[in-house]
Amino acid sequence: MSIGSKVSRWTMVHFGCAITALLAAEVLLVAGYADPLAGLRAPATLAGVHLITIGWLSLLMLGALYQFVPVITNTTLYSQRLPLYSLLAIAPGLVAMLAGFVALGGTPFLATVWLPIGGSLVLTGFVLGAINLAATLWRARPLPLPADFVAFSLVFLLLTGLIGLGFALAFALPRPPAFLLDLTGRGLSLHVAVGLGGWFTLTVMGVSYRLLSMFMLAPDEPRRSTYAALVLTVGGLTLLVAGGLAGLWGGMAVGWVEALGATLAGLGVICYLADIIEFYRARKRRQLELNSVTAAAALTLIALALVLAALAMAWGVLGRFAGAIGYLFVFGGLSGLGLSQLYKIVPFLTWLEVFGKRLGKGPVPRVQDLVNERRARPGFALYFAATVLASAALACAQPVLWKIAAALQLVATVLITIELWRARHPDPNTKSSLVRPPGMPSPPGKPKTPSPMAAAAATLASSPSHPIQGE
Amino acid sequence: MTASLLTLDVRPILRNGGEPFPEIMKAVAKLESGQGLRLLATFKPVPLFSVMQKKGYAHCEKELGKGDWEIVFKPEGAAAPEPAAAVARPGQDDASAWPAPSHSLDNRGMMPPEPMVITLETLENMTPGEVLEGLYDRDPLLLYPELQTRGHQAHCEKTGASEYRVLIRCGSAS
Repeated sequence: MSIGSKVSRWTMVHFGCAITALLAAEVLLVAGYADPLAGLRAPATLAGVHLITIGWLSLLMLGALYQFVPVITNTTLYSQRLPLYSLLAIAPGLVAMLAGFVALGGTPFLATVWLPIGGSLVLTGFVLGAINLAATLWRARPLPLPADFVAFSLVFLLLTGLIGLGFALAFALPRPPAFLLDLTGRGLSLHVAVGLGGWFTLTVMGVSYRLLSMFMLAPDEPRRSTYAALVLTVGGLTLLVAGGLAGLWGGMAVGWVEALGATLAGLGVICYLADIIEFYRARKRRQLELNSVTAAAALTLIALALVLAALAMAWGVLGRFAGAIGYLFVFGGLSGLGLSQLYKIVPFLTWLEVFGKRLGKGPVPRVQDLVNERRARPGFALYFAATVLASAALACAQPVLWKIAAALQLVATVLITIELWRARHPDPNTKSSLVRPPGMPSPPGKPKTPSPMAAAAATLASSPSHPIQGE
Repeated sequence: MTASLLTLDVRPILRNGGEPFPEIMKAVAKLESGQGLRLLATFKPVPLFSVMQKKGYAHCEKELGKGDWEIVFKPEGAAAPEPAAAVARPGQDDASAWPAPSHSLDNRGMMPPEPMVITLETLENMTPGEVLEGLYDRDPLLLYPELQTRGHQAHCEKTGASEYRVLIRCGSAS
């Protein structure tokens, strides 16, 4: 039995599907079908939102977790086949959900029954993914701190899906029960908070604690603030959910519990951001690679979105600016961070797959040789500028500016996707730009020339497989 | 997973001319049932072996080079209790019977995946059976599958806040 698989088998397929969904959602925005200015609850907007949250962000996170949970916990993924079944439930489920949203908008030939059908499929896929990751974590106890974030995020993922399925049933059933109607009337903010705050934010925290410190060579021993980040964020979100449900179904006036929960979770994110700033400060690698620079930009936008949300809440105008702030958080923060880390993860995993077997047996290119940062920089710069501009246009309700910004963002995403595609399809004969980076010792001993047979076998064995195209 | 070992390093005490015996006995008193003791000393503490044997501990010794010794005392008859849900962990091969390292590498401060490249390059030039000692900033998790594919064994231990010492026994040099 092989211990530890270097590259999780379906991760790249998840990444491919995720980017496809991101591009599709941005096309819908540019085409004006999904228009955040027309109202966040408009069915067309909801279709766009779920294409982003399920198709892009959730598949991206699941794909990343299949690769990184085993790495964080030094164990193997419980099942290498379950991710495929999970994906085969989520992708068609999402398409059915989108059909349901279109039906909700009054399209005659579609029925809203697609909403609960699709929602059930998506939730089934999430359950399969969560079972796989939870079993992996369970076998790896005691967990290192970053893995605790992931363990809690899985609970919130399932909760988000459950609440969403409740909405879908309320829309589709001819006579929905009262408790579902209550949920639909007042549960939207809960659905958003649990999804964005619980599932996405906790996952990002757990993975980035390990990933950013690794790529910047920063000491990653958990600090007091790391424990605080976990306790405050998870505790705050739990309060938020408890308060929200008590208000929905218990008819209690527990607005202050929700406010307290949101405040605690916000403080938790601040502790996390303080830890990350410390990574940047204490890093041993002084020169930052592009993915670390863009990660800093994305995390700055996450912090900005939090500050703006707190200010809007304090002035009682959160409802008016929710779209703009949400856009900044989802596209500038989470998606920006996702794209920036893909730009490191995709070449890294591809390098392991293509050149791993040849390491030490002759010259191999370095990971950096699979990318061209100078070529990729304008795409990332345009992406962050466009998301900020789009959020500002939403905040000021400027339709023309919004259209321009959305189009620029689509162009930037296409540019970044092209760079990722190039990194994923390296020429197996890529020559190393450097025989040995400066400061690296020469390996001791007499150099051995591998036999021609061994060299040929190594070359054959390392012929790249491209999961994006299907293996 | 092997049974946990309590590590006690008495080399600083010995270098200062002190007597480590009380410290060692305190450590033995703290051992839980089934737990072993890993002792690091500046000489081979032969008298201790009979003392420990009376207490029911078998020992295996290993020279670490520079005159230092590592002795692992394990309760006799207590095989390492395997937890029911134990998963074989990469980088946790039993290194108690390996020879002292013949090569060493300091990979700290290098960008991933450089440590992996250097380690594999070094192993290519070693004879099967030799041991490589490598220092890393973090547990080199992506290295283990590659070592396993090539028939090498690895044993990792955390030696500091951000420092891992990995012993790799060269296998059938592929």
